[in-house]
Amino acid sequence: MTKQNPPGPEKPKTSSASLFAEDPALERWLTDAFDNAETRDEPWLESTAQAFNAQVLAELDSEPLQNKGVTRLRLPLLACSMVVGAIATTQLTSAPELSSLLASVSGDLAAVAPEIEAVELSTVESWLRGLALQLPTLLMAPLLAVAAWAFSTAAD
Amino acid sequence: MSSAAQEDVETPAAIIDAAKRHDKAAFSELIDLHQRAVRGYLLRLCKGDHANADDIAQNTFLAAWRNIDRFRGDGSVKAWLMQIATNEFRMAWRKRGPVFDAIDPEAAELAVQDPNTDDLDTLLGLLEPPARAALTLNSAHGYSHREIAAILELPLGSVKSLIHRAKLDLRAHLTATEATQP
Repeated sequence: MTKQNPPGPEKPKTSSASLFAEDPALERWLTDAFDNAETRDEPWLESTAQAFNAQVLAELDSEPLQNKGVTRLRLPLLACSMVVGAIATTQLTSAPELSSLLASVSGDLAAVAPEIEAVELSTVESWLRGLALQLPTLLMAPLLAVAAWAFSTAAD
Repeated sequence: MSSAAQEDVETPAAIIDAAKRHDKAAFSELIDLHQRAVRGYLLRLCKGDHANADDIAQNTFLAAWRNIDRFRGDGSVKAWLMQIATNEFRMAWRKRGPVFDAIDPEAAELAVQDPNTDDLDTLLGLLEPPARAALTLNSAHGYSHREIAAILELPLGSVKSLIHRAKLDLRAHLTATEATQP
């Protein structure tokens, strides 16, 4: 006869609503703290508003609009070649290492191609991350080398 | 809580349309309408550092100018600018590292040395940047969890969890502060 475990006391169920239940005292503190900070910032924001606006407009004058078609073509090419280069010179053994490498490639991309917008860069980073985490690390280098070669051929 | 998008400063469609045609006067009006919210948000992310906040705010509006034709109008202009500001902050954080360290060692040391501190920027400095951003968008700007998820480009569950953990951390520090006060 198999021994059966006695039924234990029923565990109280935790709903997501109670998990994220608000603490009224903390909510009050947060509201006051953010209000106070806003009041403290107010004079600075007010007194510098015009200068800030003028500064941005002056920067616009010195910033010609980019040729987005060229940027979009350069973007995957740069990303692939940088990842291949980084993988070739690094021994990657874990997902966190790969993750940090991709973050650094994304930073390098920003330095090399400042015209690439932050939004695009984060898209590329998540694309690379997804690709990298789905494939064994050892397969990455040859695959991306082929991809980089294909892109560079297309770019030529 | 009512939707922040509903309470958003209304950006007249004419201004958006003209800005999309790269009309600088219209874009200047758009800056006037939203600079306060964007700079205020970045000020909290940068832990009260005016110079860093304005540097990133400037890059935010420059990126908005470059990408204005991508604004589809399915959300508010303010939320779209907040999304760009968050991305620009992320970029600056990666490039400048120590300035935007995940947990500011100086703030942490200050908070430990002075357990009575209840300065918001010092306490926000103890939170990791995504938690700092989520809490600020929620508590200071009134965005819902769903709206914050769209702005930070994170799953809804992650946003709820970030805000929950941030509040637990703040409560723990404030409770300790109360205990040390006479």
